[in-house]
Amino acid sequence: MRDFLRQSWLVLACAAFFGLLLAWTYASWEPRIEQNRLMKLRRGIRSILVDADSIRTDTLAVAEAGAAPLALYTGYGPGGELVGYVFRAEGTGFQDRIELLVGVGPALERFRGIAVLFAAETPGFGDAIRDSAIFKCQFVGAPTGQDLFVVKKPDSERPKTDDPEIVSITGATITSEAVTTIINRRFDQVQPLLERFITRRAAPEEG
Amino acid sequence: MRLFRPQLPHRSPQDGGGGGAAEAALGPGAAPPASSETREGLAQFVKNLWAENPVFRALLGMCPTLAVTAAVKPALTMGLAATFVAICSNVLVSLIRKGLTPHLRILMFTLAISVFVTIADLFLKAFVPDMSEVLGPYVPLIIVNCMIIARAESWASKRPVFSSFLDGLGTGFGFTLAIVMLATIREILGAGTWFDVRVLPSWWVPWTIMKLPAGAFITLGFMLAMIIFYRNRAAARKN
Repeated sequence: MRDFLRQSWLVLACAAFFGLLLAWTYASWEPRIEQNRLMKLRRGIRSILVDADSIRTDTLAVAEAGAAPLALYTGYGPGGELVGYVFRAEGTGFQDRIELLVGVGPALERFRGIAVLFAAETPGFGDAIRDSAIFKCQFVGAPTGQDLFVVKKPDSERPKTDDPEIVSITGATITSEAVTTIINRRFDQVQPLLERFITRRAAPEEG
Repeated sequence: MRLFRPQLPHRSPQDGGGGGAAEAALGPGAAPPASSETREGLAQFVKNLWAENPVFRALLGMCPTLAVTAAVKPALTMGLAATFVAICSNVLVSLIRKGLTPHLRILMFTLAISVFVTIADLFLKAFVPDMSEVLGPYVPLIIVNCMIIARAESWASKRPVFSSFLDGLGTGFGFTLAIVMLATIREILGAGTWFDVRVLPSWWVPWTIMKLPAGAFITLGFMLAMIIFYRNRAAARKN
């Protein structure tokens, strides 16, 4: 025992000190990190539901065992009218996971747009999904009734905003396809939950 | 054509790097006086900036050098984070150097480095969240940066605190200088900007390859070739 302590006292002492130091640092900065995360989420929701005056958060239970509940952000206009819903979507991109916010209109017929919460795609190529207005605006008004799909077109041809066609970012076809796949897959999962939520919410009003 | 021969001073675990001559002059086991230690630390600080630059001369820390130099802002942030870790780990290793046993050496260095890397990572997440996202896994990867562990092993574990601080500062600044130089070339040619400010005319067609990993390898290769060429030419003139 004495030999063990003689040999390892420095490691034990340093480990205890480092543990305390890290715990203190984490406790001091964690609220700020969480605040940054929330601000980013809020900015993302606001960028999709631009005409919303207030946002309400609901948590919808998912039937699948082990699946996390769905956080749904509902936007209301100045007169209290419903302007749309936003939910999270996540999947694999070209280099790393891509985390998105996806917005849909009140009738669930058209998308309202997307915002990128996390992406670590190739700088100068796939990374453009964060900032490229031309790429992102294609999702505004795109129909939800059919799967979105990626096409390649010259830059001179301005993409349309009301069809399921998504013109890929030049040099980043895999990232563009990943984004549309993430949206299609997630919307298929979320649609029944949203429909149930809308029906449930409308029921007391009718009654 | 002259072949490149690294002209770094011989470093062995015994002499601990560039300070071998000072130790030899004082005799084995003799502790150098404080002023000589400071001078030695200052000399090493200056050497680490260019003559023994970790990137251009020792070819250490290649992972962030190639990965985060597509633009100057992330490169500078990475350089400052690495400088913080190099200084803190050097100081801490120097403080505990008398209690270090040979078989626990590397464990203690890694432990110390990982703590300061975690602090740097949390700091970026809390105060510069956008940059933290851009740098992604490369900040946590400082833990395995040979440049920092090499300085802890060859310098800080054998030198007093102030000298180790200066060595860490020089290593960090040398690393920052190198990656910012690389990022400057890549950002200007790859985007026509520097620090996100446009410096090339609008008719400039950006060299997209400069933003890709290939651009990092090409730029680093050219820079190393130029440095070796000028160094060899200067040496030839001296001779």
